[in-house]
Amino acid sequence: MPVLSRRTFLARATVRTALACGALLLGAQMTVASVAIAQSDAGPRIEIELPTATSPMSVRLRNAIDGGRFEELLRNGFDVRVHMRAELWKTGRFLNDVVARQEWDVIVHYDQFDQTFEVARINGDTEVAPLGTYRRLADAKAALALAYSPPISRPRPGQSHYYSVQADIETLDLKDLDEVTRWLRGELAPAVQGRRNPGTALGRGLRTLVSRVMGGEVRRLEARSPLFRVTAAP
Amino acid sequence: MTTDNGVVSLQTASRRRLLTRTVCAALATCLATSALAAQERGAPRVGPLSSQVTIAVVEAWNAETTQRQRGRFTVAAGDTVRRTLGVVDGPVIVTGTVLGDIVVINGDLRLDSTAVVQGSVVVVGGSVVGRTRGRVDGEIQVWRSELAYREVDGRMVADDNETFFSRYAEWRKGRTDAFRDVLVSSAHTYNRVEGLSILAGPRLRLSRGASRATFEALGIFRTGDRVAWERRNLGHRLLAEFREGTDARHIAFGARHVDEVSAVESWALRDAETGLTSLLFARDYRDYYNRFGGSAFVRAAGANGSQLHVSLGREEWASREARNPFALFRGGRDWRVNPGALEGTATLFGVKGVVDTRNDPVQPRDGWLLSAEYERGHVDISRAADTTLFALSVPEITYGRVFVDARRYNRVSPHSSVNLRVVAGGLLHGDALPAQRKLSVSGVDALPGYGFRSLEGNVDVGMCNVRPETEFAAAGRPAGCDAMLLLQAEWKGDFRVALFGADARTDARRWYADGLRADGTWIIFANSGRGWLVGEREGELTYPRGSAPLFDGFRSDVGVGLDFGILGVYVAQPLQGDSNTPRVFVRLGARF
Repeated sequence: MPVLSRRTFLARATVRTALACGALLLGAQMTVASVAIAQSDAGPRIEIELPTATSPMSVRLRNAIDGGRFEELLRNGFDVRVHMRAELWKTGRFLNDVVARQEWDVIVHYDQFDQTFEVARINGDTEVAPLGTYRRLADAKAALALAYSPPISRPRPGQSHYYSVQADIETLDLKDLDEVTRWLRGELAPAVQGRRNPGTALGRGLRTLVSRVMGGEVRRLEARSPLFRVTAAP
Repeated sequence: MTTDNGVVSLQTASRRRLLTRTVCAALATCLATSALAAQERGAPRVGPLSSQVTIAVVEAWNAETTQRQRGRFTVAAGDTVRRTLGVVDGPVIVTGTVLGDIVVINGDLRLDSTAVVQGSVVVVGGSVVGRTRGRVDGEIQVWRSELAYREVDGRMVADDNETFFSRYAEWRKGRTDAFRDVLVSSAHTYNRVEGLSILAGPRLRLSRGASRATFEALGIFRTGDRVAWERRNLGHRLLAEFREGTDARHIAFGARHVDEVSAVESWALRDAETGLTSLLFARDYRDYYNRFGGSAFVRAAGANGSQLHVSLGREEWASREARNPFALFRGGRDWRVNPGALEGTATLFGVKGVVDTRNDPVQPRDGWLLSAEYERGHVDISRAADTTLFALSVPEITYGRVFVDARRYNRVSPHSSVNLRVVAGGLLHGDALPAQRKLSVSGVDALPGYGFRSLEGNVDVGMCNVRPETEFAAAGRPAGCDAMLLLQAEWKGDFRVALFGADARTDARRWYADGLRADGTWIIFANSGRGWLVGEREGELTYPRGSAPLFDGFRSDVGVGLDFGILGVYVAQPLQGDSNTPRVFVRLGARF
């Protein structure tokens, strides 16, 4: 067996150690990468379906309230609101322009009395499209992920276009809560008639403050479609 | 897989293994297909109940031949239900036989292996367990959404209007904005003059149709450097407003009376940024003065987010001293002196207009944000604590001041934008500007490559200071310019870090969780600006009224940064001045 000099032995050991470390690191990174990709697949995301000859474009928001504290806040009476905005952009020579835009909300409300989740899509101020009432949160999430085709006019043939969709997901903030409580007050006991204890307003304000300080949830998602060009019908 | 890899030379054993695997794969495929078919038969559907389903379920329940049950119900092995079985709020467990249909409303159904249903199964507001275990001769329909109903004279009636959101919609249609409550809120951001300023008091809003009246009587309590009920810790904000129209389009008029602390140059930095640096590091990047007085106003709001606000008022102005409020990581640092203000009685006429056509107020990609204001003031001076440039020895001054902040957002490709901003303002006419209306071009928002209110070179074009450094610092480094011009440009583009190759499915997606985006935008920016004094031309700091030192003596910097949504990290390199060291800074949100 050949006898290695101390220097050669150390050099080979160093190379082996480096290779081992490199392999380990590579393996670890690959593991991390695969986990990351798996998470990105399972994580919150927007999917945009381009329009076809027979169907309009559609938007689907998947896993919107997964992770974070949305679920906990929802069960504690803080509704989740998803504000969606879809824009059709046209590429120009120098600048891109917004051709059309639509905004809508999807709200998940937890009824603590019935222990059900109600989901609805609200266009504008008053147009409400119920998406169902569910006992299981998983079903409410599935309703939240239903595809929707916003009334965006089809792009004109010839030019390059793309869709940009943003989703702002949040537990109702102070202003919204204020509005909802005003609504509840209007239905249950009109405050202008002085039948409500102002102290409860203070209590609600403090509850809201605590909720925001302790981590009210806000999440923004954004997605763009690939560039596409509508060809004129033959 | 082996066959996919194109291996053609196989030994016998390998062939046998391959054959076995192929047969197994074919069997598995058959099973999977049949399982899939079974799953599709009765697969749960998410979404609102269609009217047909609702009608069918309600009719089935109300039919005289239906055997109606409430709550948990079991068809035991050996038992036979000879009619249609309707169950509300189940669950239903079927081990025996049902000769008719099964209708389950807002409950689950479990079919055991011995279960036989000769009719169909419809479940609304629940699920079916054992769809493939038991025998169901008819169809299986499962709807996850619950049925809203009420009972009238023993009969079920679908109640589509009883959901939270339908009630919400009804309310929105016929709502009034009327309310009365007690507001508790922070009045300002945390600062060295007030500490935490708390606003509390009653609010009343009356509404009829498109008309609205709002009244507020809010008290202000400041924590300062000690929580005590003393005059300097107290203030108020009173408001009476009458409005005709909607939030988006309206005309309003009203009056307000305030005793509050206002910021000088609030255009630079956001409230959250100044509050956070004050609370964390005892670094307050704004100056303040006290206003006591009232004003009347008219406001009109119209298309494209445009708004016009005209006001006329009379106020007592006073200086405010910096106090010693709490800061988390102070490190022995003293608060900066709050510069003195011009004290006296001011009569003010103001016009402010805003046009906002941005596509997104948070991360705009397209559109304009134009803000312009003009103020004409007459001040009867009681005490000139104005230490900015010259001691005012006159009993009164009159001034006209204009201020414009114009921003344009341009998307140049799906992935990038070029944004421009011009900020300009100054003395338009009159004698001189009061200290609280002076301007500066300094700080992280304007020229981040230079230190906040730091003197650079022989001529100070940032704050227009002409005094020695020690005197300037002792006065609190006040803004002292009569006019200023700032130009900002930035090129932004999206980035995603994908060390191991892009995932095609997420390539065009950007998202941030819990406020922090996993990917964001890179930014290359440049800023250039200066301030100057108005008067007879003297040196490189004073220019005659109506003229501007265009690109003469401007301070400029360039830089790069990464914006992660709520947080951006940047580095800026000054192009002039004594210091050549790049500066790293953090912004909450986009730069502009």
